[in-house]
Amino acid sequence: MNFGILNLLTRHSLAALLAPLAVGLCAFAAENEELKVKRQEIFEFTQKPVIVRHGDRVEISFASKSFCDATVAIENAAGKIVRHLASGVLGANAPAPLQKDSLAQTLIWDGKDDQDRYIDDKDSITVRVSLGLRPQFERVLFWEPKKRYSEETPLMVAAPEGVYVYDGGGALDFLKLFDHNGNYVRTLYPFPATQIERIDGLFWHKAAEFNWPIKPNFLQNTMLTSGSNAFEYLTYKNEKYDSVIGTGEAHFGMYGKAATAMAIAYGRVALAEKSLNRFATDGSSGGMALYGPRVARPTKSEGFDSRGQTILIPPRSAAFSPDGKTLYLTGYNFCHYGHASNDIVTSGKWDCFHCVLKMDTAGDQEPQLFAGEIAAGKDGADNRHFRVPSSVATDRQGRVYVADYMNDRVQIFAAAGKFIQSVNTHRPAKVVITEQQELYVFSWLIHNGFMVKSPEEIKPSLTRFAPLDKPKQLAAWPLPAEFGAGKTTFLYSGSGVPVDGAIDTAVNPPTVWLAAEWPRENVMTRGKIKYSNIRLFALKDNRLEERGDFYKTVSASVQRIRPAAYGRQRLYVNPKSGKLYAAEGDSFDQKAFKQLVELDPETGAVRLVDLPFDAEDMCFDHLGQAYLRTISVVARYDADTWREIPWDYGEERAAVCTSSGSDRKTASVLSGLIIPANAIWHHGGMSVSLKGHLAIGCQIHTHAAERAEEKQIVQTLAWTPRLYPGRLLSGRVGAFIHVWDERGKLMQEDAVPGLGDIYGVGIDRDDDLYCMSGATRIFNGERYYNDLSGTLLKFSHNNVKPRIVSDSKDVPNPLERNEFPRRAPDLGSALQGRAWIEGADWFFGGVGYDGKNRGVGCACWNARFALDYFNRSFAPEVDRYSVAVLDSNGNLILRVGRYGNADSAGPKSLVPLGGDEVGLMHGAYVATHTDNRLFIADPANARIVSVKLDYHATERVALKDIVDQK
Amino acid sequence: MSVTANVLWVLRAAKKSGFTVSADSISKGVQYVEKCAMPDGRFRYRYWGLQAEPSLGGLGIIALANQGKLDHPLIPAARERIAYQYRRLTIDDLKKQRYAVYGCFYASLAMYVSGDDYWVPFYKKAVQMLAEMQRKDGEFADEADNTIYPTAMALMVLQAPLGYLPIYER
Repeated sequence: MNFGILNLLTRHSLAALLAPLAVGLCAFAAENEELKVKRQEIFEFTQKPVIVRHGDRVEISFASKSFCDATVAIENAAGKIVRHLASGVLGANAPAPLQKDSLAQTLIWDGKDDQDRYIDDKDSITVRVSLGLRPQFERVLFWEPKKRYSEETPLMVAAPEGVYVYDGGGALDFLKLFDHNGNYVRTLYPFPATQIERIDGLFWHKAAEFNWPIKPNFLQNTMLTSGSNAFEYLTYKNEKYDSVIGTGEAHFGMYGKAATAMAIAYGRVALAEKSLNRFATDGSSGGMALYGPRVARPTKSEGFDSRGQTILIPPRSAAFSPDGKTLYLTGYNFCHYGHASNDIVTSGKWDCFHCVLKMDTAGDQEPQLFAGEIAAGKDGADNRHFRVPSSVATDRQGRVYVADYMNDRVQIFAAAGKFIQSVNTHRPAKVVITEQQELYVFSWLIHNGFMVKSPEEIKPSLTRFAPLDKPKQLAAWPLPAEFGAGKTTFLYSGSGVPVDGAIDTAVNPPTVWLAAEWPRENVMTRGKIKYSNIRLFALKDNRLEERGDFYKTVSASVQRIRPAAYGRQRLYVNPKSGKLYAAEGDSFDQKAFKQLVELDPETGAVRLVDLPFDAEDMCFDHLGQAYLRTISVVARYDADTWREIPWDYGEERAAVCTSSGSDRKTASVLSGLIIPANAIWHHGGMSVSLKGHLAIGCQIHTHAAERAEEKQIVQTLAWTPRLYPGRLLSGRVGAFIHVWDERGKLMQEDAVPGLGDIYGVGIDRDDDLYCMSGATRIFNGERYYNDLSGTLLKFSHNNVKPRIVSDSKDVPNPLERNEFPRRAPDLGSALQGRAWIEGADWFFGGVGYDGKNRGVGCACWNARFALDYFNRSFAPEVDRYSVAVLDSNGNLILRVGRYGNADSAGPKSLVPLGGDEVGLMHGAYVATHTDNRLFIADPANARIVSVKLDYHATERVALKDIVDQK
Repeated sequence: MSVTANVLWVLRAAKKSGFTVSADSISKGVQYVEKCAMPDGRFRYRYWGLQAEPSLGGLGIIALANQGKLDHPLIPAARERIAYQYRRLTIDDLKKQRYAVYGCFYASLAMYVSGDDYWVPFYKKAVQMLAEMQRKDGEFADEADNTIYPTAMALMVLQAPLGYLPIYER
């Protein structure tokens, strides 16, 4: 790790430093015209649809009161759309076949369906004309509040109102309240929408139409900055994201979380890891500034990946004083990890700061020494020292209890720091003071340097003591072995604190909540780990009685125990069935998927569907056929039977798969498309038009392959892109779009030359292409405020051939300075360079997320857009909590969604939002079932939102009621 | 499918010219064409394929009929399909079909062999289509802008009534 000068500033002082700047510059930024909603908000017909039939020629006339969006569909007797005739915002830029600058419209339907087949039974047909797309929250899919995200153990605190659980991992943070029976009550973080404006210290981006709160970390997925998912780098200042702040390590936040220690009491919440974040149990910040000072202890790393660099050691325990004004921190026990292979991390040298620190909860000063020694390695057995202090708690009198793990005692101090007394108990790992002021002591394995030297088998237990005045042992219970039994081993690579527990005494008998950390997945453990969850036990006289197991609940509801790696939930809709499929990486690379999560939007039912092989990506066509791809092969299947539907022009391949890991799944393909791509990880997406034409994004490494599997693929790659001066081509940044027809014959090769990274491809009925570039939009020479956002583009088939030139250093044959177009560039990013695009119909900026845009991160976290059969694009605006909906001419029809957490789930939910009721925290992946539903995967709310699509005004005319004048 | 049908055509020409042709070879070729047939009278490019190629309808008929199997059960459906297409589709529709000139040429052979009830309406529509497809310099082109082969095929269709070519036979 390399901590720059920014890390010398505390989180709070940095925020304080930036705040005046932000205030000074916060004049409302004018929203670029491109990003403004284009439709007018009146949805009335001034002339209802009038139909004239002349055989195959059906004339449809109507008039709207305003320049709103209009949609015309031809439906069969079952109400299914057989021809998607027109959709778009009326007015100056209305897309064909709508007439421009006219409220009165006349369209001609040629009597054909979407596949250009004549419909002879026209009496069965109904013409539908709709005004004003109206999305509305329908239901939540794939949401289970007990699903666990943390690899380290969740942090739990019992309170009179229930048990608070902080669950953070994979860059995501959740703080939830459960009742005493383990039932979900509400979410504190992400903050409730009703409280978001009461969070002091949040940055707000101010745009002309509305403001939105900033997620200031590199991944732009959390508002918390306390932990490793923010990596201590604020990337927002002066009204802009500036992701070059920090180092390339910022993107490792994808493996992080916000807290290793949590205190909750007296209405206050403290989350601590690198620094302190504080707020209130009502979801506001309780009058405190959210972003507090650093609480981690710096030291020099001796680990394999950061030797000699400064690393920050987080606390593992925190407790408030009774008035909530003071916060105590301890548990600065840590390991300098080594490794046995790229895959296997090993325990190395354990070390510890044997101290308890204290700080002003609401202040901006870093914590100071309360007891023990602040220098690393200074341990002792007298009453001025600790040996691996692991936990801290306070009682109502303000006395401070410290679990002095390797000294087999609980040390008790007055608030002023004076030692009061010891309570002897074997290996106290966690101390808890209940509402009744009783002392409970958990004992479990805490990995530390002393136990490496003298290995010791630990048997976990829970001991209850009377209040301090008479601290005799009242009861003891053995704990199940999964909660901290065993001894420190060379192959242990966890946090050092493998268990957390809470005692809920609001019920009788009291309930103990326990959770264990997940073992690290590596080549030795893969497939063998049980991804456990929180378990509840009633404390009987001398035994534990199970009250609940979150694992079982999750297994029965959403079935998937583990969260999606990198927050990736690519969504696909089968247009034939209307069912939604979520693809979460479940192979070695955590990206290719062997299973789909099938979600029935009508019922919410979940089913896991095995695929023939581990796929890198997929899409469905209008017949419900599934197209699965690996890096270099596409195979087509009947999605009901998973029988292959071979292409006429395909080729036979054996052992088709994506992952190179031992857990890959392979299949033989009779006649698949062989596509020119070789880059591993992920490609640019794929899409099938209503005519069965298949557009595929392909990434190619044109330089020397870095990995063995890439080298193997490069050797078989039989396609070389066309080169021209200024064309971006090399490295991982070259994306190529090719189009095949329904028979598997190549129709368009390298359709949009010069693209960088892309995140989704769309192809419409006219073979026009859409893609979401990772590069950021440049408006009149000025880059969009969020430099990690991308840009949606459209390229018409009848336009000039697209051609993109850029000044990237990766361009193999650069343009001379005087050869660049004499205008401002259209897009820009570290990898794409400044790019000038010829042949694009339109651009729409501020969508998606590309962590590579400033050359310091990666793109494992990303986003995808979707195209519907009316050629409307649904593009995630990840940073502004919405999905932009555009017509085929790039007119922004509307935005779906606003900020909201999981408790915003419709008008009858805990936190209703009004409007479309769609609450989003990080809506990154979308899919659409045309004119039926929009689906938004929001990993930061751990749910997929189903949005019903309807219209404000709809008129239908049955052709059987119209005389055919043929 | 197109390769097999043309090979069958060559074998037939060879046989008619006095060469010895293995019956087994012809039988295998016919079997392949049969596998490519779809119930609605269309033919796929490969027997495992999903999509029908409009241009292959005529080829299928000739491939089957040329082997002396004029009563092959697949022929009526294929013949009716071509007739329907040239009756129902507009000139624009026909022009937009994949490999329109190739398809028209193969269809012309099939319609000619089927008699005037099929041939005459087909030929009228085909002439209209080809007239609209012809470039100012007289050439015909396909999707890939090839001109020599499509032009030759178009000319064969247009000159069929003159009876100069032995491939148009009844």
